[in-house]
Amino acid sequence: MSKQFQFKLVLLGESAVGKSSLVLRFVKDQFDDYRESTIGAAFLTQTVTLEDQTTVKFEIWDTAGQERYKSLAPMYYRNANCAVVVYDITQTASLEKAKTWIRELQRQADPSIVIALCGNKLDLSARRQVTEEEASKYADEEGLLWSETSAKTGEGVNAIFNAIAKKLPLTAPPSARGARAAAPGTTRQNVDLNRQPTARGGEACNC
Amino acid sequence: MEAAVQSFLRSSEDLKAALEVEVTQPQEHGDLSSSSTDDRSRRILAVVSHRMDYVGGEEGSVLILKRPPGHSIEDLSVEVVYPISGSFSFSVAQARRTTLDLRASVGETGATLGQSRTELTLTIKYELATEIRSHTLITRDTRKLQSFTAECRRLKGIFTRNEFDADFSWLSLYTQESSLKSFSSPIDLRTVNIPLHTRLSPASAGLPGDDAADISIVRENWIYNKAVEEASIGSSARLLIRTGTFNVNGKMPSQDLSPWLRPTKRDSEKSGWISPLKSISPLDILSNPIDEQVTSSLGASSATLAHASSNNNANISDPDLLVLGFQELDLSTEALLYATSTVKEDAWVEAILAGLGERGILYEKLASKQLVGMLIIAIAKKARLSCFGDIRFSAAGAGIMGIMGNKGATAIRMSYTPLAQEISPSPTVLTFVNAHLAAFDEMVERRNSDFHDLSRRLVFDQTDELDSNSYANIASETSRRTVGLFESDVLFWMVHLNYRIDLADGDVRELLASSPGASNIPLLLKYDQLKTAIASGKAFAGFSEHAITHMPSYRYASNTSEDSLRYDRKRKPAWTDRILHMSAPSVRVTQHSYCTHPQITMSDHRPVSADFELNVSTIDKQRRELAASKLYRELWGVEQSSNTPKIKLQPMTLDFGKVYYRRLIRQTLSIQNDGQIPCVYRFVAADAEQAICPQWLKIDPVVGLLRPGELSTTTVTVFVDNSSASRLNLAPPRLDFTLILHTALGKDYFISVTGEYQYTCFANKLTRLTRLPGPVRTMKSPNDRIHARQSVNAPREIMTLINWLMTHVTDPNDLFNGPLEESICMNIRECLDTGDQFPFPQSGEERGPLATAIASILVQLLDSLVDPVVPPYLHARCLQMTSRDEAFELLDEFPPESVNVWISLTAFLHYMALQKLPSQSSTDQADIAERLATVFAPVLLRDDSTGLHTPVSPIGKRKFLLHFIG
Ligand SMILES: Nc1nc2c(ncn2[C@@H]2O[C@H](COP(=O)(O)OP(=O)(O)OP(=O)(O)O)[C@@H](O)[C@H]2O)c(=O)[nH]1
Ligand SMILES: [Mg+2]
Repeated sequence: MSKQFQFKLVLLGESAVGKSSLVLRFVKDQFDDYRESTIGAAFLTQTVTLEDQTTVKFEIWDTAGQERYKSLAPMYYRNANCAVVVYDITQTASLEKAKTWIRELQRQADPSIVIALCGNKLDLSARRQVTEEEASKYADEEGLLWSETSAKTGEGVNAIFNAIAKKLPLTAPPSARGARAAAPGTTRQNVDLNRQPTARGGEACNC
Repeated sequence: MEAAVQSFLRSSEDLKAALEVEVTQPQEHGDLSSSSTDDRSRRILAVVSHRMDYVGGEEGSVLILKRPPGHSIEDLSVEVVYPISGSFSFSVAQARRTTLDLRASVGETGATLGQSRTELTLTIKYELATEIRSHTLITRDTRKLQSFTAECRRLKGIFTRNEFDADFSWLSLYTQESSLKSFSSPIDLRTVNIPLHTRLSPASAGLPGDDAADISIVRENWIYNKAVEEASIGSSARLLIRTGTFNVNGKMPSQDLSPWLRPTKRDSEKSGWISPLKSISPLDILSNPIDEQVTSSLGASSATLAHASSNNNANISDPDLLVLGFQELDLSTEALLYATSTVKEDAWVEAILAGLGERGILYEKLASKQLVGMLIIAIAKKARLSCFGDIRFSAAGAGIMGIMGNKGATAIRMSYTPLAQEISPSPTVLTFVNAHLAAFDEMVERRNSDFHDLSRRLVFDQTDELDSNSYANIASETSRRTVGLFESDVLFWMVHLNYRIDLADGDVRELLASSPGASNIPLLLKYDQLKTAIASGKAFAGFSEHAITHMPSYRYASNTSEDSLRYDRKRKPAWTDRILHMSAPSVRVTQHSYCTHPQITMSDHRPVSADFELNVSTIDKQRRELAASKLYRELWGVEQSSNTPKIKLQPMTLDFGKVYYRRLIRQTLSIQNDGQIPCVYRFVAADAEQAICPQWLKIDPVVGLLRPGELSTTTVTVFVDNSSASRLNLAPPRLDFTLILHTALGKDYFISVTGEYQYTCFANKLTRLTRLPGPVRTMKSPNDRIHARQSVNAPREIMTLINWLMTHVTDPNDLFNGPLEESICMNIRECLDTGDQFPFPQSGEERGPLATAIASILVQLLDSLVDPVVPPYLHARCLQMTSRDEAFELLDEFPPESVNVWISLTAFLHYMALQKLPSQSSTDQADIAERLATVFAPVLLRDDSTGLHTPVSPIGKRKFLLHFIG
């Protein structure tokens, strides 16, 4: 019998960097060119199966990036085990904003939180404003996971969630993890990553 | 027919085949019983399949459905459900001669025999561990039978291949009736009357509670209400009930009881004690309209009160039912031990019928129950006798002697079924309690616990009630069943409560005796132990009591030691005899009267009566159950769905514009279910320590359920009361709040609420008002203030009001008598905040209303102060002052800003009290001072809200103020 873990993951970052798009790609393997800005917080789940057959269930809160809802973000990252802080590689300002989020998480969130910095819209690298060196250097200094993604093409998306899954302490009893009580009925359709049609050469399990 | 069956199913189930059949009696082990072909034997046989999307499987089931005689095809109900598993089998035969013979022998003619050639017999078998169930069904529809059998074979094939994965849990929906259980007896009144959201799991942003459990609570509630709505036939039945309570002090009936028994025409006519209280309490307008709205939405009971007062003039005819509670029927010691004699009861029944006079012949005793001194009697109009049924009794002892029964309660529960044609209306359950709680002033806690004790112990035996459940596969055992007191539609308590008034004996008598008659009743009721217990939720929580306008019913003297009002000098007068009720939202209860009957003097108590009118909408019992099971199937399984709920909000931002103190603004938010599945939503707080919204904001409803496509409207109200204003006055003016709407098992949605708060001089500290640089609205920042050395003596706003009154009011009656117009009040408040001039009275007619408005604004402003003018730590000292000089000396100890306000104000009041009254006026000079003191003293010496300082006597406060103005 393989082990099952459950973690709370929160997405943060400036509005329009592609947080919701990343989640949609990860959970449903879809992309939407015209997404409405998130006014609220969406809750989704997705399960990742690691090579050793351990499954990690992410309970994902996708938050609103708009400045006016900033004060509500702490409600969603409290008790989070991991956070994906997203910036848009074509917008320098979005990296600055991402750094503010990271500082806030380091100060306010659970000290054991695993933070991943994610540069999105890799498909638009022609208009790149944030270099890989700059971002990865910052991530190294702060001890963060870092990678670049494209929610549009799907590149790097599963990889970053897998990397997080691997970095999480898979030792604690699963019940102690995650704030959401695993009430009956909260179980949703679990899509096995390995079964997903993927144009990305099996990144899902090879990374 | 197929369409009807498909719509009966949930969307996750598909109808594969359906056909009409006739049943013969279920045959056990070849036992051939005869069959009949009447309408009642018709059934629909269906085979349905359930697809399990996520595992790609499929399961099947055979259902036998029936419809109640006289109902349309939509009203199906399940008779039998069998999973198509290994235990299921069937066989088809050409109808054999034996069957035909049996059928013919029932008296059928050749027609049946003629058709019989094409008849087919289908036998369905289901093997249980201990027995084999079998059903023999007859049909003529060969084609449909073929598709039925083909489907059964196919599904059985699937089952055999996947035997170990078989689940069939989806079938539970068609076999269980959990939601319908709630109809067998009314839901506990304490549950139906609390707001739904308080029953849900704790939740906040990012921390949803137990969504699945919440869904089922909201859904049950929704289905219940919706089923009632759908089954109500549009008419309603009216039931008039007169209730009474009388502590007879061991006396036998010796007086005419008619005043207590005959309908009371009007509160005011009878008692003569409803005086125009408005004139004496300008503070009435201070009540928060939002709170009223909120409380009334909690249930019909509180809405009823407002209704009751507006309906006092209604014509009341003879009651259909009289329910009377007696206490201390027998004071003899042996009564405590042998409570068997009905001699006294018979005497009282006789006296009641006699008291009804010529109407007495119309009535008959319906039920009675005695426990030692406590007796409850129900008397019904003979013509309505058949409407009352299922009468049950209960009794329980309480108090010091416990089981001995000198204190305790007796209760009657009955169902009232309105007469109706063609349908069987659902009965309304009425419960009446006659109780006698622990005596003595100090025993409040004991009384509270008596109440809870009795609430728990008064239960009714329902053992022989028929179980209407007709399911073939549910063996309904006749087990002992009891129902609680609160499982009623309307619950009345007629009680000798023994609750007293928490004021000194002298104060109580003085307040009762002062004129105008009984005008101090509202003040006295503030100290009433029962009212306090209800407000704090310690006892009788959720019960309604009509406004009391009658004098205390206890204790009248029978000898020389009586006071001017005939109350016993040795016992503090009190409203010990009360009638309270609680009702389900489905019943509209209107109270037409509530009074004592001073003419009946045989006891040391005066009897109390109350007239009630119940309006019960007639509900078709059967239709309600069908509607409920249909809705239940429709809404079941939301928790399991792979779809997420989706809603659309309109608008996304609510801008309230300028927000003023005490000006209510209402906006609506529409919520539409934009998804594929039913959606349960609730507003949640940002975190557990916070409320869903700040005090100045209210949303209603907080919880809802929407089916796909449905739309609901939520009311969002802004109202700034004193407590909100005291905080907002010190904060930046921008109001900005985000409401969080959580969809169960789905997203959180944000709705922004914005506004521009307009600063006000109300709800500040005196020390802040004296240091404002100018009118509050001209300030740039809430922190603006002038140096302490430059501060004004007394707040400008208070002085402006006093000066206007000094200049324009010549007749002190003008301060109280004009109509109080909220529009004028609003205008004046605005002038105080902006520094604009007050409107100038153009004519004599305008002066009255304007004076009244300005006087009540003065009271409002003083009452809104964060701390009262006289600090609570000085109240006790104030009351010790015995002379004018002493009182003036005490002013030295007042804080400086209080002294100035006190002096200006009392100078004005003194001046008013000295005004020459118009010659025709009936009020005398001393009365004016007294009246002014009555209004201003409780405001200037407002009780400490923190509970640090014990409240002092209201009369003492008046006396202290009178030293200055008298
Ligand atoms: N080209 C490209 N466009 C993207 C990518 N990811 C997102 N977008 C687009 O960027 C826009 C914003 O994406 P969202 O996912 O709504 O952004 P968000 O971070 O959720 O924004 P907020 O909800 O306002 O906080 C949308 O029009 C997306 O289609 C990507 O990888 N490449
Ligand atoms: Mg978004």
